[in-house]
Amino acid sequence: MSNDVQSSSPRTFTVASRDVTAPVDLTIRAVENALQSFPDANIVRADQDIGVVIIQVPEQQIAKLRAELGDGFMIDPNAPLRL
Amino acid sequence: MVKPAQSESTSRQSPAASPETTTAPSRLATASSPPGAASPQVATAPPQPGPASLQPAAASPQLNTAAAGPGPATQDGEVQAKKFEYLVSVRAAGNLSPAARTLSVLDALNAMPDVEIVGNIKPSGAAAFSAGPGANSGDVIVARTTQERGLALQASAAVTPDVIVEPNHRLIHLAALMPQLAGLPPTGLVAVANMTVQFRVVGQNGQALEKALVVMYGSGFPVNGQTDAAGTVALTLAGTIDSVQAIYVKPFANYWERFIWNPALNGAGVNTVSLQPLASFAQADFSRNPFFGWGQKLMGLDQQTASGLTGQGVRIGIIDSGCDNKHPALTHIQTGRDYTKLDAAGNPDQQTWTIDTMSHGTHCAGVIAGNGQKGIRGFAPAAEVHILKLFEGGAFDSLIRALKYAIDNQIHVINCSLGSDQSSELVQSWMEQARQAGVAVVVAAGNSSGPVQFPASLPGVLTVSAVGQQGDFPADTYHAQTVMPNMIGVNGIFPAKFTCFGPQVKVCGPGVAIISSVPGGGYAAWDGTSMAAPHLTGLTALIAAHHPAFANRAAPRNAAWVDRLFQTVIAAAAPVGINPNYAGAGLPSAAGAFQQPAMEQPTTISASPFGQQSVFGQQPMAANQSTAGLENAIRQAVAAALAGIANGQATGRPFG
Repeated sequence: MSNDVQSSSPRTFTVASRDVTAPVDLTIRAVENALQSFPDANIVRADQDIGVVIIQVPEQQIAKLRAELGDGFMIDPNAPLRL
Repeated sequence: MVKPAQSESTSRQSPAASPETTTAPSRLATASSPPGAASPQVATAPPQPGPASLQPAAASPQLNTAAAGPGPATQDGEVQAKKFEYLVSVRAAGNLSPAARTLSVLDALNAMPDVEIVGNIKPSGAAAFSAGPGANSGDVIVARTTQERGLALQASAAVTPDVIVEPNHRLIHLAALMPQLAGLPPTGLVAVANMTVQFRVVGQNGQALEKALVVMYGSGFPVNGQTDAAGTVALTLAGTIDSVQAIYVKPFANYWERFIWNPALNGAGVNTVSLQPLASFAQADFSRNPFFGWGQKLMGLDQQTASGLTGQGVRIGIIDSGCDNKHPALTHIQTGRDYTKLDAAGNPDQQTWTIDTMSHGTHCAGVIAGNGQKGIRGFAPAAEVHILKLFEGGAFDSLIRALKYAIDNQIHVINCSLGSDQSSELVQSWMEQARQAGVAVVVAAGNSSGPVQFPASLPGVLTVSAVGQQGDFPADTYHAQTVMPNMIGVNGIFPAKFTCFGPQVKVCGPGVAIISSVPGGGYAAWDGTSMAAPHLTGLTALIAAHHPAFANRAAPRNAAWVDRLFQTVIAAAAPVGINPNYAGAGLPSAAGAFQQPAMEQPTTISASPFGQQSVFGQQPMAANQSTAGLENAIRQAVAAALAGIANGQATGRPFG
């Protein structure tokens, strides 16, 4: 089966509350609500231990998602590390 | 770890293709120098041994070697380097015409049996009517010779104002990897015939070396492969065999690597590359048990000052690719987590951190904590080491998990020999949380030869660049190619060509030809800021464990504690005569850290923090800085730090 290569394949991002005391459940709910208007995005996993939600979203939509979530959240690329 | 930089596509123009070029016979007949002509002082002496052979000027990856050398072998055989091309010309000087000086140069070159003159580019006629530099240059002679002779010619020209000798560099085809807006295919990527080259890598007594990495650099992207049990590998190259610019062979363990510029390869047979055992290079002192690497010795770990310092009582985290604790030097490491293998609840596996498929973490662990009983002596063999495995596949989220582990387990010092070309506010936040919790994070600056990478670029971490030292590796290795000839500091210390640089660099560490443990019980010599950072992690742990300023284990661990710890490390550095963007405050040492007033040894602080027999002791530490001045600076810095501690003051901000 052939793969149609897209110009902007989804990337993973970390989403976390700037308020380190905020329960991660609030972050998860905020992300779930925001992603409802992003049909190409999805939650990969929520890490309760570190209060981070990993999402997958096309890169060109990330600015819109930032606006949707507001300044209370950090959205960063979950970039690969190299040695 | 650092691999040789990727070779860019190149375009090579043969002398015959140039309208200004007339290809000369192999040995030009020239008239004798006119009476009274000054000798151009072209070197005729044999090549100088020693450091000169390490100068990369004559061994550039873009050096033109078109149709040079003995040509490909006709049967199986050892890979040899072909000859190199150099451009030789004269500048205006005195009353002699460029033509007269050119004749003198040709005389000198013709007198050298190992020099072949393959071209002579006549000056443009227009130049005779113009002014300014170069207007009255003579011919440009294209000479082909050995690398050694070329180095000698360059060295001679460097002290001769009217002679120019330069490598005939290949040109980089800038369009090769760029979009072709005119609809043409990229020149460097057009379909060309593939050819397969067979290699065999052998060690002592012709022993086949398995799992050796062989990289072939041609006119396109490098190709690589790993040797099988017979030591053989076949690499397929897009292009002709003459387009191969270099071969790099990296053994899995126990041998020195090889780097061969301009190899004469045989397309029809097997090309053998022989490697030398680590123990064969006497300067490395590898046969000694316990083994101290050159960097550990340079930082004074084998000296009296550091004897008895073991890191007892300190916890060290190594965020890396795991650690083979079956290695005889690492059997005491018993704690770890594997963040590449999480269960359904997100908990890391507690067993598989001992599997290190990349060898990187095991290498770092040897420098930091090798037990010194069976092999390498690390800085802190009695420290409690926690292996936090993120690789293969590590990303920012796994780094955060490891940082959280370090905070939760009150790790004192973390080694982060890792980086990314992207940044993260979230990671920055966690790095700061770690600092606030009293976790000191040491980070490798990066290996991209550019600005310091993330997260080494963050304030509050100890950012470590990489230096090497001439004489600590064989000349035919890629280690020798990491020398920056114009930036050599005291006693042959140089910033590694690959190291990232910038104002964030706090100190430098040994990061070229670092011999340390690899899985399976062996050792390997690697390059990288990844290798430099563990030296500083180890020293930082020793300071945390044994320095009197940190003796009070009941004292609160917080950001101020981390800042003081790093300030003490920085104060223990001796300048190495290298731009601070590349070396920060210099290279810290155990003597610099522990021969301080607070150690109640106030009478005889060495003139050099590296001791009376310091490798730095034979030369000035830095321009306009006496060793006494350095000693005073260190005393003052440490005294200030100690005064702050005594008064209970905290800076409350990152040290940098």
